[in-house]
Amino acid sequence: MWRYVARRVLLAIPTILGVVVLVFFAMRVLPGNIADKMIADFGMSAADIARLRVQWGLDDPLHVQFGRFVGQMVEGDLGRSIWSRRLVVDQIAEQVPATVQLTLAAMAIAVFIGVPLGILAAIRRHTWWDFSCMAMALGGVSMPSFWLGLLLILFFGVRLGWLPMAGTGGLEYLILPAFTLGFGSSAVIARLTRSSMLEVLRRDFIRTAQSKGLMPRVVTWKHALRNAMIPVMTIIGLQVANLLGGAVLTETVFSRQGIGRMAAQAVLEKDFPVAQGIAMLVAITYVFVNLFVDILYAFFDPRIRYE
Amino acid sequence: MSSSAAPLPTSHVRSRTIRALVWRALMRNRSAKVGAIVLAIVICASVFAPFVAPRDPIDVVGDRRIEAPSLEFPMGTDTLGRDNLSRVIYGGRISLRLGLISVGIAAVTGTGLGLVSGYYGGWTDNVIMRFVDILLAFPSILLALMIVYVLGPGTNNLMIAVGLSAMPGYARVVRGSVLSARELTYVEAARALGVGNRRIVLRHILPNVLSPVLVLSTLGMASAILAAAGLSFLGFGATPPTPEWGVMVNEGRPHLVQAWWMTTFPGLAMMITVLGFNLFGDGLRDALDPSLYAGR
Repeated sequence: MWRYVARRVLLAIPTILGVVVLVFFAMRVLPGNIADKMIADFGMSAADIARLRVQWGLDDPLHVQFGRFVGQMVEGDLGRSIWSRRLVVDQIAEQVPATVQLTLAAMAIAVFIGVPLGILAAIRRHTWWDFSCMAMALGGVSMPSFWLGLLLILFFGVRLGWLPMAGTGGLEYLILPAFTLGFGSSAVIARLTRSSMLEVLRRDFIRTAQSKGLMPRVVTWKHALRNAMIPVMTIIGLQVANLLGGAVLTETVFSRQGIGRMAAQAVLEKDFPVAQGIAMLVAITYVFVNLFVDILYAFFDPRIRYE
Repeated sequence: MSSSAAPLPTSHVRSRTIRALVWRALMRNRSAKVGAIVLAIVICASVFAPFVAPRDPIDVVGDRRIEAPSLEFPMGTDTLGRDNLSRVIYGGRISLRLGLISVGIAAVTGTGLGLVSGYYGGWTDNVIMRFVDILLAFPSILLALMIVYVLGPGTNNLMIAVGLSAMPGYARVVRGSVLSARELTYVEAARALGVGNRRIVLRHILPNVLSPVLVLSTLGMASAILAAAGLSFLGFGATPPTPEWGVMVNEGRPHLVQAWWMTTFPGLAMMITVLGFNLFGDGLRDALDPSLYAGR
C-alpha cells in the first residue's frame, strides 16, 4: 500500500510542475503580451507602459522571469494585482472560504441526491421509478447551470420570497447556489451509480447471497452497494473539478464571493497575476484531490495496488 | 465448384452487416430515436430560421418593449422591443455552429494526439500523455477561460478555447483504442508487409477508433454548447446584439423580475438542444457497443 501511495505522489509532482510552467508561459509567451493589451484597452501612455514593464520585470529574459516566478511562488508570493496593488495571495485567501463552502455544500447535495436516485433506479430497473430517476438525471446534465440558478432565484427568491436572491452570508445564502451547482453533478453521479449497481447485481456473488436465502435488503445494501460504490467514489472525485469550474458561473449568477467570480473578473480586467494565481491554485488543488481519490480507491479495492 | 469463382470479400460483407446491426440497434433504441427527433426539429428550425422565424432577430418592432408572451409575440419581446421567439430561433444557428466547430477542433486535435501517442508509444507517448494530464488538471471551463484570456474574447477564440479544453478527453480515449488496435493481427500483417507507419495509422488503425470518437463527439456537442453559452453569459464570447442563447440569458438577467421570458426561453431552447444531443449520444453509444455484436 505504501509503495503505491509513494508512486502516486511521485507521479503528481511532474503534473504540478507542468501546471506551473504552462500557466507561466501561457500568460507571457502567447500572442499579444499584456503590456500591449493594456495600451489598447486602457489607453496608457508609452512611458507608463515602459515603467510598468520594468517594474514587473517583463523585459528580463524569460528564463530569468521564470526562475524569479518559481522562487517567489515557493515563498508563497504570487505577486500583486495590477489594479488593486494588493497581494494576490491575500486576495485569494479572502475568497477561498466562500468557494470551499459552496463546493462542499454542492458536493453534499450532489451525493445525497445522486446516490439514492441511482440505487433506486437500479433496484427498480425498467419500472416507472427507473424511468423517472433517469429522466431527471438526463435533465440535470442537460440544464445550463447559470439558467437553473436564475430560475431558482425567480421562483424561490422573487415569487415565494423564501430565500435571498444573491449575496454572501449565512446558510440561507448558500442553499440556492449549492443546489444550482450540485444538481448537474448529482445527475452524473446518479447515472453512474445506477450502471455500477446493475453491473454488480449481475455478479455471481450476488446470486450466491440470494440463493443462501439472505434478505434482499441485506443483499442490496451490504453486498451490492459496497462494491458498486467504488467507481462512484472516483466520479465523485472527478466532479470536484466540475464544481470548482462551475463555481465561476454560479458565483457570478448569485453575486457571491469566491475565487470563481474573482477569476472571471480577473480575466475581464486582464489582471494577469490574479488570473494566473487562481488557475494554478485550482489546478494544483485538483491534482491533490485526484491523488487522494486514487489512494482511497486503492484502499477500498486492494487489486489496484498490485497493478 | 468452379475454380473461377472469386473468393467472397468477407471483410466487406462483415462490415456491412455490422453497420446494419448498428443501424437496427440505433432504430430500436428509444433514447436515440427521441434524441434524433428533437435534434431534427432544432436543426431544421436553425437552418431554415429565415423562413421559420416570424420576424428579424435584431430589428426592433416599433415601441413594443418588454411585452409578455402573447399570440402576436409567443415568447414576448425584450427590453429593446425585439421579438424573443425570432431571437431564440436564430440563436440555434449560433449555438449549433459554436458547438460543431468546437467539437471539430477537439476531435481532430485530440484524435491526432491520441493516434500518435498510442501508435508510437515510448517517450512520444509519455510526453503527449503528460501534457494531456496537465491540461486535465484544469477544470474545463477554467482552461477555456485561460485560453480566452490569452487569445482575447470573441466567437472565434471562444470556439478555439472550448475545443482545446475538450481535447484531452479525446486524446485519452483514442490512445486507449489505438493501444488495443495496434495488436490486431492485420496491423501486424501490414507491418510485416512493410507498409509505412502513416498508412497503417490512417488506413488500419483510424477506422477502429472512429466509433468512440463519434460517440464522444455527439455527447461533446452537448457540453460544448453548454460551455460556449456559459462563457458568452460571462461576457467572453458572442456579444450583443447577436442572438446567442447565453448572451440572451445574460441580457435578461437584470430584468428577471419584470421579464421572466427573456431568460426562460433561451435557456429552455438550450436545454432542449443539449438534451437532444445527450439522448442521441447515449443511444449511439449503446448501439456501437462492440460487446453487443461480439460473436454474432
